[in-house]
Amino acid sequence: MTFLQLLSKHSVVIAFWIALVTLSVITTLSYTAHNRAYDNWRWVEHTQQVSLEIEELVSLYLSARVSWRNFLSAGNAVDLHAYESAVKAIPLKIESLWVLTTDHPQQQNKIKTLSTLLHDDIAVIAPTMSLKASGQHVDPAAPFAPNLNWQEIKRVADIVQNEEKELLTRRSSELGESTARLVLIIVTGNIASLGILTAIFYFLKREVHQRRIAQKALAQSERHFRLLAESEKAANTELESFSYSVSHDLRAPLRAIDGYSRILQEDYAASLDDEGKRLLGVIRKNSKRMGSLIDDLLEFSRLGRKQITATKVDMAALVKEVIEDIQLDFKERAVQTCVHELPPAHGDRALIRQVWINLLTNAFKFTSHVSPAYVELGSREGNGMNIYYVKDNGAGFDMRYYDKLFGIFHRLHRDDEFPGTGVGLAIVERVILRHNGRVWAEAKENEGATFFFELPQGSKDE
Amino acid sequence: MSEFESVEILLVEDNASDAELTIRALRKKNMANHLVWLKDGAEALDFLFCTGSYEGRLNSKPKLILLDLKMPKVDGIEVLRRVKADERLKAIPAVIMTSSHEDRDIIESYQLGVNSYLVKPVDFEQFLDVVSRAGLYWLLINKVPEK
Repeated sequence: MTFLQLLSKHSVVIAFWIALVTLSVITTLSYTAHNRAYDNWRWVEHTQQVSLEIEELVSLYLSARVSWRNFLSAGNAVDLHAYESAVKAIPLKIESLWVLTTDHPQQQNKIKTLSTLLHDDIAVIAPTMSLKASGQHVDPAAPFAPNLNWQEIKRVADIVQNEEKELLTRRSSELGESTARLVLIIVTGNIASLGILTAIFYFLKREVHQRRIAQKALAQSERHFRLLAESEKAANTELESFSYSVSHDLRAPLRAIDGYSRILQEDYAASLDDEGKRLLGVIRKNSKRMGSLIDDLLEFSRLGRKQITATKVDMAALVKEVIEDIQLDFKERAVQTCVHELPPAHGDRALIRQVWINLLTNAFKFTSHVSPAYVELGSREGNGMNIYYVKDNGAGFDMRYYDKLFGIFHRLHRDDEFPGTGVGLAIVERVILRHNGRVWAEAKENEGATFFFELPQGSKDE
Repeated sequence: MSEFESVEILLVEDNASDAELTIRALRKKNMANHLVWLKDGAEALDFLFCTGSYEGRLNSKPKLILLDLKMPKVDGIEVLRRVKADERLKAIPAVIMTSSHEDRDIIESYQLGVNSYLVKPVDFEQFLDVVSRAGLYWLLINKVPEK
């Protein structure tokens, strides 16, 4: 089977697996993408949080500064309170920023710087507030002194915020790129899977369609075979009734022809001259011949219809029996027989006996003109079959006419040389074919013939 | 109808030639003197059961029935069935003489109790031999109950 054939044979399965794998990959990618989008969203939130905290920190500082200025100039307790709550909130904000930027040491350093700057300023502001609160005089212009860190605080806070924004931009653009890639993969994958699944659907649909057609064809051929079997059965029945009437109706007139000719010979011998007697002889000879033709034809048809009862057949014993019978029929002949080892066969004993009878009768018959006459029987093992042979040194035949050898009523010798009806080998072939074996022959004119036939081996435990 | 009183052989055969050849074979052995030839099974049954045209016949039984198988109206198998089913007739030797040696005919005949089944050879010499030997055996060699 070529690769292409394999491919087309398994195409549906392969396509199915490709679609399945693609869909699994897409699912995994989608899950990952979702996780990354969630992370990104958290980063955005984080950045916003940091910006907000920083802005709050800066506004707390400004609020402390404003309250400080107001308190020193007006001495209102409200301003003192506002100052105190702002100063109290500043370390908390710093703490919260510290935690938020744990993942980023540079930002933490900046937060630390910011914290120091704030502390330094508060360290300047706090003593003046305490003095004022305790009722002592403080110069109201003190808050306008230029030595505070406002500019620096503002700068660092901006740096932190910018850094966060930059981080966010970088992360977002990374995510954007990978998301775009992912979207491409998912869309392509989905289209591909869709295509593959459509193809599978088409394949399966076609398969189902073809199967339906095949089933239909099968049903049709089954019906066809049933009809054939029925007509064959009818033909067999017809043949049976045909041979039945042949055996009865044709034989009776033949018997009459032969009988009355005989009566004529007996009762009117005196009135017949020699030619008349010869003609009667011809009539009788031909009626006898027709009788044996009918008998052989019936035997041939009977063997074709006979049910085969297969058993183990002891060929050595069977052949011994057949040779003894045939030697009785050819009493006047001296034929030397040589029987080699014959293993048991599996088949119908009566039918196989007929095969040996026909082949051996032929061997005896066709060696009638040679001396010494010699017939050899043997066997060899084939592929699960036994091959038996009957070899003689008789008249043989011309291999040019081999195709007529086993045909019914076909003869390769004239009747005045070797009498016969031409049915014997047709029967042999029919019996062997019915045992699923083969039969064949090799011969040379005037040098003898060898007939081979195959039969299933008789197993030892039968 | 005195001619039917001491019948020895009842030949039931529809074919005139076969009947003549059979009678000739038996006559050669001097066994055809008390032979009745009937041409079909229906006539044979009338004869054996003294019915129809044989009503009132003195009820003597033949010593041997030679039956052809294939005959018009009532065939040999049916005659055999009726004979072997009858208490008074079943002891008469009945021999089927036919041209066919189909297995089913042989099996059926023996199931019905035929005494012998012979196939008539085409060759006349062989035919003479078969018929005369059958006649000799059943009429002279074989023993049957007295009554």
